[in-house]
Amino acid sequence: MSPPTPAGASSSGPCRAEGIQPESERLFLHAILESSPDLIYFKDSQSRFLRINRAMAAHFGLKEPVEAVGKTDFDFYACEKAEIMRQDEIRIVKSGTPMVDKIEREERADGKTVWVITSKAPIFDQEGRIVGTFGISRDVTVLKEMEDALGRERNLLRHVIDNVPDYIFAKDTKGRYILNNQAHIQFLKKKTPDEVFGKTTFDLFPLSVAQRFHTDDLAVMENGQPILNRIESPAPQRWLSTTKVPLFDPSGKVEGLVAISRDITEQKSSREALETTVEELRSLQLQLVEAEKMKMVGRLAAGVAHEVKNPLAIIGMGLEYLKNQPFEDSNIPQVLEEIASAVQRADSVVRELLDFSAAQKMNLAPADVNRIVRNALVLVRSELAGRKIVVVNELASELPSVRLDAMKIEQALVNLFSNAAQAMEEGGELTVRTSVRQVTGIGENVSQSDAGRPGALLVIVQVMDTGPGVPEAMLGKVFDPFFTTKPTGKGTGLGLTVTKTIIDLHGGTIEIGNRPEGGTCVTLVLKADNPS
Amino acid sequence: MKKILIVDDEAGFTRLMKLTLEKTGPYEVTEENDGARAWETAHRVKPDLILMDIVMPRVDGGDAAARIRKDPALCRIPIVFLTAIVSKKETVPGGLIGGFPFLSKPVSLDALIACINENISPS
Repeated sequence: MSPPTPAGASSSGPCRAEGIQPESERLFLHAILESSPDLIYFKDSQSRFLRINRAMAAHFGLKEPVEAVGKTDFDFYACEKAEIMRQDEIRIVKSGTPMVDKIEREERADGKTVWVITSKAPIFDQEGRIVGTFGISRDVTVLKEMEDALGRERNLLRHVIDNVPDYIFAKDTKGRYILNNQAHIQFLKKKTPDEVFGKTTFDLFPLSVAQRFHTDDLAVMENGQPILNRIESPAPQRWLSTTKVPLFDPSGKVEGLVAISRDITEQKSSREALETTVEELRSLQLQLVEAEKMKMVGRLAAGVAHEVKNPLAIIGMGLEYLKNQPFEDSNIPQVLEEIASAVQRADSVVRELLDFSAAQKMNLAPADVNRIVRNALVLVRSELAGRKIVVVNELASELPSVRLDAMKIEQALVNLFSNAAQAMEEGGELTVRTSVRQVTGIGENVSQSDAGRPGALLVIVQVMDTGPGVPEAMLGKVFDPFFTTKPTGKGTGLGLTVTKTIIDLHGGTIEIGNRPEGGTCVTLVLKADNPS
Repeated sequence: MKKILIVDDEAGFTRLMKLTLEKTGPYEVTEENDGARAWETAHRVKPDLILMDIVMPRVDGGDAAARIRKDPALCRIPIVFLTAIVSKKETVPGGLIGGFPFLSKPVSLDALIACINENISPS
């Protein structure tokens, strides 16, 4: 409300300039005094009412405004209140300065508290002397109550924001912080909001981290779509789950974003620990089941060996006896030879079966896979040399150690090398490659016992030959017991089964495939020792 | 003439071993098909070598060998196990089972003679 124009100046004021007649002015004043809901009064220099409007008469409980003429505030208000009003008016009369928008609390006779906003100004006579005051008061209780409610709400909100342990912050469209709660200020290693206000993520985080945050901020503000529970790492070994939502101005335009971020490092670690435990238990269970199975196979194999080998021994000894007898039929030595060869075959099947069952006891210790590969190559040296097979050695210069049963892994490798050699009767190349790989994400294939946790190290052994390969239709069966591609009598069909059992017992994987350039490639994947 | 005692519950096997060995070399072979009687037969025969099966009903080859080893009168007699239940890994040359040399069934006559010559007590 602008200060009222001094009475002395009004006659030559803007109204006249617009050509309004004094009669019209009286009408306007009458309208204000009769109809304005605000309280309007005119007083002399002694604070006596000269005139009040109808609303004020009603406020005082008078029937007509004229009833107030000559009275003072002391006739209508409590002494204390009336005195304050009088002092205000004395000051205005003395100084000629208006009092603008003074908000006062009033206790009504009915006990109700109201809030009133009042402006008062001096009245000047023709000579410019102050002859009194006039004022306008408006009941602003509703507005005041709304303001108080807003203030309380603001305080509550601030209290909540500052007392939740989650990080809450808001940014403008330039990515500058415009609000940060206490937790977030502490997280940023600052003491007061002022140290963060107006700064951007680039001022507070390393470039690569800031860039990631900024990309999300832009996406939220450009698309007007929230990002929910984004898992992000602002620092090594620190994890946050952050939700960002756009902030809109009343016209619906994006004016920034607000975010809430929770430190989930602890949950993540305990979840990871739990997952590890579950994996270990699963692996252990698998090994127990496997061991139990192998125990049964062992008992079965021992029984079969006893029941088969004893008759074989009798046949064998009988052949030995007959061999030195004179025969009339010249074919008999050849017949005996065939029988002896059949005895040998049956014997070697039973021995392989015993080998297979012997895989049950594991003797685990950290070992260097390269060394085991070299040992296994020595064991098949004569088999390879006999077939003119060249060994191409592509062993990694350094491998992390792997917890394994060296004897069994050696046996698994000897089986693979032997198979490769047998696939290259006319000579060829046996390539042995070792390498290390770090698990980078989900979906790595390291059997049930290892979910391929990011960061885990895997040792990989590849055995490649230049033989004819395995027919595609049979690739799925090569690990089945007694499956063989070799001519009858040349293989028992248990070698790869034994190898797979051994790798399974180590929680590793074995895969076989044909190489595009010809021949097969067998890939073993073993978990490296966890240094921690 | 060297005396060999062969203890095995497979009568067919012991019979063929006796026939073959006696035909092949200067051996006199005694058969015993009951592990429980191995000790008393050894006492009676006083062999220069015992070929002992391991898996036998009643008393197995291990127990029979242990009893003979504990007997001062028999403890110097060499014992070679003959067994069906060994895997390929265990049949490396010079392998031992419980400190005894062994042969895996079925066994060739050459390997058998070589093993006998290597282990038999000199007269």
